Amino acid sequence: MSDWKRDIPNIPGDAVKKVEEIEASLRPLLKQLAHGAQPALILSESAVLGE
Amino acid sequence: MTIETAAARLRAREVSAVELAQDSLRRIREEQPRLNAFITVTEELALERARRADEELARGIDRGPLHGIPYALKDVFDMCGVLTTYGSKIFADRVAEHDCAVYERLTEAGAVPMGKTGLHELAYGITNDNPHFGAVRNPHDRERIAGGSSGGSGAAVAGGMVFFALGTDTGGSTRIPAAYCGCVGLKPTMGRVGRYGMMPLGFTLDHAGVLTRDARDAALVLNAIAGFDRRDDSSSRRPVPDYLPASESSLNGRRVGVPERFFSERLAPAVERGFADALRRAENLGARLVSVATPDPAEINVIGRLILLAEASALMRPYLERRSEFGPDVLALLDQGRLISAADYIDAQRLRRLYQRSFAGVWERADVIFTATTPIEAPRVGQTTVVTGDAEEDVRLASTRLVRPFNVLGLPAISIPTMPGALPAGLQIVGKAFDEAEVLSVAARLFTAWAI
Repeated sequence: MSDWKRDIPNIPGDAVKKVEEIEASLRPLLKQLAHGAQPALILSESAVLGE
Repeated sequence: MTIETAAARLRAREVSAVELAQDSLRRIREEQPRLNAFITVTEELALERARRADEELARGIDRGPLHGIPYALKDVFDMCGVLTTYGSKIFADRVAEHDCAVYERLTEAGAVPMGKTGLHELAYGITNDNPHFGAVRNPHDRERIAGGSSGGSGAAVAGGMVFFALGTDTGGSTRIPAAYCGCVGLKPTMGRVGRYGMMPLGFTLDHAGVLTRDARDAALVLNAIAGFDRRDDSSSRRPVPDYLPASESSLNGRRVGVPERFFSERLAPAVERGFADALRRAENLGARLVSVATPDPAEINVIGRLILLAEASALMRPYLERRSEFGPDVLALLDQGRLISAADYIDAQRLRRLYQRSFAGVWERADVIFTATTPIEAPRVGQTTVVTGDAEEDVRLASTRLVRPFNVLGLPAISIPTMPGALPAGLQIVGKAFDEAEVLSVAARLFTAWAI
């Protein structure tokens, strides 16, 4: 799954490990995103806040 | 002396702007060897602006409460013709070619720029132990960090060198140094202050922030810098109210939300004492404490860290081959950011919106919420871990644990100092989006009552 990360030049193994930890923390949260449901991607924070 | 006091003395001709600037320069000269708060001191420019401020006041031109007041900018804000390094070896010789939005507004307000303050390399960290410009030291104990990434601004304000300073706040970088140095640090709502000419780090998380000695002073500075800027896509068109609280403002009936879980866990004993004392004092001033359920900040922080890793690495991609020119901690984060998948980044942004909606329920029960700003007091320079509760925690993660959620959520938050022991700690007051007036009003009332 993460082999592509290890193939990138100049990436220390520790960086791969750290990112895999963050990914592992993200996975349980993704259950909240039902397939096809909102929220959409909005990159302007002020739009999210009702602008 | 606060901005309000200095402004009154200027108008009473008890002091001149040149004298204030000279006093500020004297303090900088005294404290710089001890604290290393500044990267560049703009002495000539400061004295020229101070002379102009005096001339204008003599001619009856009054630009408002910041007229003639010495301040500093974190070295990520562009001032045309002035070295602006981002605390980085890569940009060590970079001279800005334009003025940033906040500097334009502060110039219009007549404030006097004393220089550029030190920061964590690229504003990407909280220790301010900068390998290229040296560590910024804490005014209360120079063996401890000032916090960061706006640590130079925190040390300059708390060390009495300037009346106020601007910082940035991507994951707590204004509020953390405020808590560790014992001054006020305000992160406004995302979109409230224009970011044009401010070095980006996390495009969707960056805010400009304000550091002051006093909560009312933070309102005065926000009055000067808030408002729409067409050069910043995230800038809000909402009208800007007067943020300065009425001097007789009260906490009577104010609903202060206290998170029932998460935010009060794993606090250092002194921080816990300071927080409990703040709650008691707020209640004594008439506030009504209400328990509120919030999402788990640990979950929000995963989202925020992942977004920041990806955005910072995208930003620095043109420079990533120059590996030897980065400090090891920043390079490690930039490497991690290269490994974040597009799908994870997008889903983190989508989750962010869910948590923003979820958090909005808090405001049905509370006008503001209180948390500690950081779970620990300022760590020692070079310290990498700290024990909180019964677990060892990375100093960086501990310092950002309670503040980063409000960058992800975009909400306004201020840190005001508590002194639970020999070192300062911070009380964080968070409000609804664009309700800085409420946050500042509560902060000012507490601050005045505590006579900090």
